[in-house]
Amino acid sequence: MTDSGNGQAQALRVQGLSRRFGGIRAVSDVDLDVEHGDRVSVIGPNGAGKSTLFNLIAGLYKPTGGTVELFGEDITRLPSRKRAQRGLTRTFQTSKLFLDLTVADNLYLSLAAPPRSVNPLRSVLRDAERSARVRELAEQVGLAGQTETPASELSHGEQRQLEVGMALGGDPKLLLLDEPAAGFSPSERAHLVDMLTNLAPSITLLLIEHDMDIALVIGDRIVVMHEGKKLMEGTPDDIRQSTEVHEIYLGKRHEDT
Amino acid sequence: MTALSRASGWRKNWMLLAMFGVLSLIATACGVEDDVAVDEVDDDIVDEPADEPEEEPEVDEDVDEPAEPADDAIVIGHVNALEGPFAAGAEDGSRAVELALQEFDSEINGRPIEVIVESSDTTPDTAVERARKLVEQDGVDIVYGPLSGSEGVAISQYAAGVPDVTFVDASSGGAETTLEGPDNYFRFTAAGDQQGGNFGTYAYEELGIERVAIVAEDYAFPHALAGSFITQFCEAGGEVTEAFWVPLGESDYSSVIASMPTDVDAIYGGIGGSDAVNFLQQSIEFGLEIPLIGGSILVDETVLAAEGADLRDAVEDIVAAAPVFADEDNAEWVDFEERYHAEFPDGFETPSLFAALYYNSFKSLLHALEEVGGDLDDGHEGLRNALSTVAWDTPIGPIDGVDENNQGAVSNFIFQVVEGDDGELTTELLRRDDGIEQHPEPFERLDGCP
Amino acid sequence: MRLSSPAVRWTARGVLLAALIIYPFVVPQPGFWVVNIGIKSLWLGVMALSLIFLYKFTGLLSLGQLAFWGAAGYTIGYLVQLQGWSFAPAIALGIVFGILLGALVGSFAIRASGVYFLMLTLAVAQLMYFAALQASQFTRGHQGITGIRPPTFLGLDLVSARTQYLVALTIAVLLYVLCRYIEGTPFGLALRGLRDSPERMRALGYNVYAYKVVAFSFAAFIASIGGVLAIFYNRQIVPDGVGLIRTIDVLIAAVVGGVISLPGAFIGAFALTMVQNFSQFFTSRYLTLTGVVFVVVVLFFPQGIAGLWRQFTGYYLWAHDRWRPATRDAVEGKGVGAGAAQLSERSTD
Repeated sequence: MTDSGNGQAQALRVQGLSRRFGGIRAVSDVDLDVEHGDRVSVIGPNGAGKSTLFNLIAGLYKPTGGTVELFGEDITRLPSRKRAQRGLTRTFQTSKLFLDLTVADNLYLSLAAPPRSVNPLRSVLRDAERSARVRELAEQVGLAGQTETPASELSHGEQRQLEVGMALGGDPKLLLLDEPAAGFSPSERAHLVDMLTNLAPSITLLLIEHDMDIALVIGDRIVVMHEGKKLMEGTPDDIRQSTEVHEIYLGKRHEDT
Repeated sequence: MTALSRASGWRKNWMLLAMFGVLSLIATACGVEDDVAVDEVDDDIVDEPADEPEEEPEVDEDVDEPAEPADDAIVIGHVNALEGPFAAGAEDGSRAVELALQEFDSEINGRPIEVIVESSDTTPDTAVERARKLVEQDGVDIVYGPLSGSEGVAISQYAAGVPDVTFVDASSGGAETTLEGPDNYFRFTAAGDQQGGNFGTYAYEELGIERVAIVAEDYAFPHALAGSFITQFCEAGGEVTEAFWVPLGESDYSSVIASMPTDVDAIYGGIGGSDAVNFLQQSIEFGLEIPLIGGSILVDETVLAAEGADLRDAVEDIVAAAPVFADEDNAEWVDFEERYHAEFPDGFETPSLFAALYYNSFKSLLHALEEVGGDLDDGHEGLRNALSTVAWDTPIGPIDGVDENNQGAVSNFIFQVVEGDDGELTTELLRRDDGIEQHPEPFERLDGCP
Repeated sequence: MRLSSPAVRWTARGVLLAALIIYPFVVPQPGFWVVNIGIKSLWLGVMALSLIFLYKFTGLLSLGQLAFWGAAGYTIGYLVQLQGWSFAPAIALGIVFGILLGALVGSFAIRASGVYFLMLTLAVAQLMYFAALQASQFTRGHQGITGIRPPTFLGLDLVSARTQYLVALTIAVLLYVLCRYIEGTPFGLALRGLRDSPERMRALGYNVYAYKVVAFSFAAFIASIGGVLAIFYNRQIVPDGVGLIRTIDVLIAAVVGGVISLPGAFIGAFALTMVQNFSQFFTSRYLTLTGVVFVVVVLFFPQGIAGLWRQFTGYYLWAHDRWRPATRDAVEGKGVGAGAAQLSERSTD
């Protein structure tokens, strides 16, 4: 393993990251530094390149330029599973759950992933240690009563909660949340905010969120993306006061509603 | 992804699968030819458009009433390859069975004959399954069939385990079927080597061929067919310069042709008709023009339908040997053909190879049953003796008992492809040899004179 | 007591197993019912199980399982019949060879998905067919390796139909139980997970490719065992055994039984065997009949026989809800189609 967690290197260092899809520059020359324990929110209108940036960091896409370093290690060329094994976990913008499996089994899989050594042929039922952790996680994301429900039968909000639960199950050092509150009811939002605020301080958090209330409350630092570029970076207050952000993002958002 | 969209994807996949299934089933109906001789008279066995035999008034063989045979009925189980590449031929075989039954009014000495048909698909696994079903479930007295060589070998091996049942082969040509077969398995039609007749001797003595090269498909049936030719030809004094064994269904003969010796008098083809046309076509293009002679599978409708002047010239000279020939000078054949047409106006223009072979084998069985007055109570001893000595004049030459392996001797026809009065290619009989017996050893692949 | 309560289920399983064990001793005409129906259903069921295992756990529908059947069968046939080996090492080697071939084929085939995977695996089966036809020094070509006499193992004479049936039953049950067990292991969960969402599996850190290759090899292992059982049943191995018709047989057995249901493998194999053995009551064209059955099942009963209960209770619930306006709104949210779709995606017991 690398020197992850010893506080020397930055949790995440992105330099000149770019990705083109055909003629479209989805992400263009983005730099980003995230320190240990940072809470960073990435905001920006639809199509600003937030999710692409996430997918580049998580390894779902290969960048057309630039580098990604995780805890000081260059992971630009690593496949996503190897990044996950180094403590980078994520949620997806549209839930990617194991719909046929129960909530408990979904969570279990997040707990049993490499590099943890799990006997692949020992019945799950006999894995008391992880079963307990599954219950803990389910409680943490508000699904305690539904561990035996198949994921396909969860409501949209519950599926998003499960997404978060699975990302947490991977013992993240760096947690990437891609619009975790999309489609949430107000009470579900409140619960999410509550949960994120109480997240262990050792976990570094990178959050994409449309909902400014969440993004600005959770984030200590806000990155604004626009047309694939990083437009500005600052504290929540900086962002609230920026007319530019209002124009391209907040203003637009008001028109929508 | 919602459950709904997943469901429609699911449904789409299934539609695709369903189509695949249907197409495959159709495809199997036009598959690779098996090792049964397809000679010149059976214009339509394999490539017959499916509609003709399909629309046939059903060949009635009491297919549907196995449940309630009359108490005193003699029950014959018929394993017939009504599925797969020989379906049309098998169906024509059933017509011949029906003709034979009619001659006996479907009874022997007052005992009705019930025939239960089980279809196989020319695969040996299925053939054994069907035979076992007839024996064990339907309790038949006699099993009749199958059509193809590998089926026959498999059923004769099965027969060894059920000695109380008597088996009569329909048309299969595998050597081991009788050579290694049990005492309760009889065959009256030609094994692979018998289908070559005396052609090896004939080629040397009558056609004046002294040196040949062999091109034949590399499996048991051509091994036997070409083997009998090579053995006779060499004994007579001829020389086999080289033998090319090609995979079944080969379409590219360029490497064979390129290494073909040019100083031979003829090439012996132990390959199926359409392969022969490919071979001739490619030989002509290569500039190699050596006359082709061959075994029973060489000349079929694709050969006779050859187009293009060069190819026609090459085809026109072919001399070949076969166990069946539509010999219009033979009263038995003419009678058979007339009754076939009268009974089955929608049948083939000429009764097929399988009709002739099935007629021979099934009627031999009926003759033997008649001989013992339909009495099977002696553990089939009488029937088997009768089968061993059954003698009658068939449309394709006389049958006269069987050898020590229960294999009957057959007649063989040597014929030449000629241009008919209407300008179409047809065949002309050169010679008929009766009493062709099976070679006592199975032929291995021969690469030259033994 | 609910129908699905564990006590009822275990009783039902016990009764079923007892019935299967008694079966060869009570049927009339055992030469037919034990062999043609019993043993055939069991080995064909094992083949369907291999296909269903792969499909249920990884979402890959393979038409190539017969290739591994053939690999094992030909290895055994060659070693025993042509080389004079005894059965035990030949069978062991046959299974190992089947698994290795599975790993090899899997390592490239699983890169494809959907129809491409289907076609690739079909091509593998056809390749095996042509190899069997042409590598005649190993396979005896067109004729195949025939006259194989089932051996006596540990005092069990496999020539006897009943013994062979009981051995096949034991092996089939063991394989079935093994598959069910795997369902509840981290390995099985991971396979089902990568079936539902390979991206998520990667994001969690799983090596999706390796899992799929292992799953494919395991399915090849099941198929190889099917090949061993079949060689005792057929007493021969011939190219047609791995031909297109047999490939479709396996597919039909799996689909008719219910392609996402492990017990469906055996239900479907039994159904297909019955159809093939008794089709002559209706038609001499049994392949056509099976084809029709297949299409009807695919179109109208996509969950196969094993899913009939669920399918019809699904209809019942749907009709029930429809005629009760009070609950209608509740249903609306999910939609009837979605409900049915979920049913069709869920395994049955």
